[in-house]
Amino acid sequence: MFSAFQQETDEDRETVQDCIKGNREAFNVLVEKYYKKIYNLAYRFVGDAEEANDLAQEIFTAAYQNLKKFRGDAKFSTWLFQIATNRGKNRFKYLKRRGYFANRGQTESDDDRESMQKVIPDLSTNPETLLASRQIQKIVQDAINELDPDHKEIVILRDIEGFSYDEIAQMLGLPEGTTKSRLHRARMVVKEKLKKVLS
Amino acid sequence: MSECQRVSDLFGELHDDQVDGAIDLYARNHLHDCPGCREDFKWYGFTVQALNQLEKVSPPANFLSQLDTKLQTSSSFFDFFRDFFGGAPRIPLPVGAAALAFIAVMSIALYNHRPDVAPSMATSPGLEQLQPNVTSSGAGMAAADARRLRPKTLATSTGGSLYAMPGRGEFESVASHRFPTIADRIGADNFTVESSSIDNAVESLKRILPQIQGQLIDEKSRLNLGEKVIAVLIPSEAYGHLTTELINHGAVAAGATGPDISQAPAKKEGNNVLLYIRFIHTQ
Repeated sequence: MFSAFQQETDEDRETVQDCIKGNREAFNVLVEKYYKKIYNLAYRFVGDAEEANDLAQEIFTAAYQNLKKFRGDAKFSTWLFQIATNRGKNRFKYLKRRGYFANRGQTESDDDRESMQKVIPDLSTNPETLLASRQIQKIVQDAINELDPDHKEIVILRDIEGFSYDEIAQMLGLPEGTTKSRLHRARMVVKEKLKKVLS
Repeated sequence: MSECQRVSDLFGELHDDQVDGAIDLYARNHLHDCPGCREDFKWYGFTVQALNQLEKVSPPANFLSQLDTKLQTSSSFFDFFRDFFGGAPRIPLPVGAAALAFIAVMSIALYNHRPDVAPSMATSPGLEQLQPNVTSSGAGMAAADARRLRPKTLATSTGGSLYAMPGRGEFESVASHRFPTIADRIGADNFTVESSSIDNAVESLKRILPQIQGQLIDEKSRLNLGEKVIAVLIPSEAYGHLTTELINHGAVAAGATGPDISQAPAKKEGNNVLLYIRFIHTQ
């Protein structure tokens, strides 16, 4: 399975080669292709637009500076998201150490809290409407913010960004079994948080 | 492990339909019979769905232009260093290490080099200590040197005791054949200054010293005799200025006049002159 993934053709290969030769325009092509996904990933790591913007910029800058180290063993997108995950995880740890997420929780208004308490999901009917609500989105993001970094990165890569287990295992350097078990534990933690808040 | 726990561990695979036949049947039967697990599995599915359906957050409109600016800045910065180091030829490690050692040795040699010390004198550690870099250093450096230059005994290159500063007590004999006295060059020797207030006279002298880049080397009071002896190191060219000032402050004699300093005439070493000045009360 893993070797099959490695043999998969990389649609970005030629563009990357052009970048390595010094073609800035080629790098812009890659940025155009991935910046929305990278920004979204960054946002899920830090839960704040401004921090996410800064983090996403940092990720692309790091990728640009390290492009010569890209050996083509994996797809460019895997390599790029590996950088993004590492940086995102580090930024998350940094912000958490500084009490960034705790402070954000404290500044939440009482009205918001009350309105969240009133959202009682009926899991059998209209789940799309329920999940699209602003309150649920926020509760889920808060639950993600409370995960430890190792669980958080897997939830983001698998359930939010939709990477396969192979790709995640390659990005994080973990066996597929470990990836699956971590994902399961992370989902269970988020589930308990949602259950606590919503029921 | 309870049956509920076992089934709970399978939630992920059940949700992804990755459980094979027998286990799948076992888990589904348990979920059918256990309301708690059934409820939990619903919440698990809801959680995964909630995570999957988190809305995509859009970057700010100026994201690309901001990134472009950042990349241009970082690009020129990194290009500079890449060109700077990339242009240098690769040097084998032993050659590099040898070059580094050579640079270190040369640096130390340059640091220790004092242009005002004659080569023959520089070999004598005792003499080297007598040569503060007065002409090339600032006042701070001179002061630092002055503190360092307060040995009680200075050794000659032959290892013998040259003389002792007044702080130790008696001045000792001098190997004058090695150190031409000031009298050889300037025609004068040590001074005796008569003053009604020795302290004031000494203070006046101390104030003059920085102006002529001189340094106070040692100072000793002889309370039983009511006199004070100080040793100063001054540049040769300042000798005339200092002697004038001393005369203005009541210098009554030049040359070896005191019982102690008669044994220790002033020395001329390089550009600096070591003088002993004796202050006595006006008769």
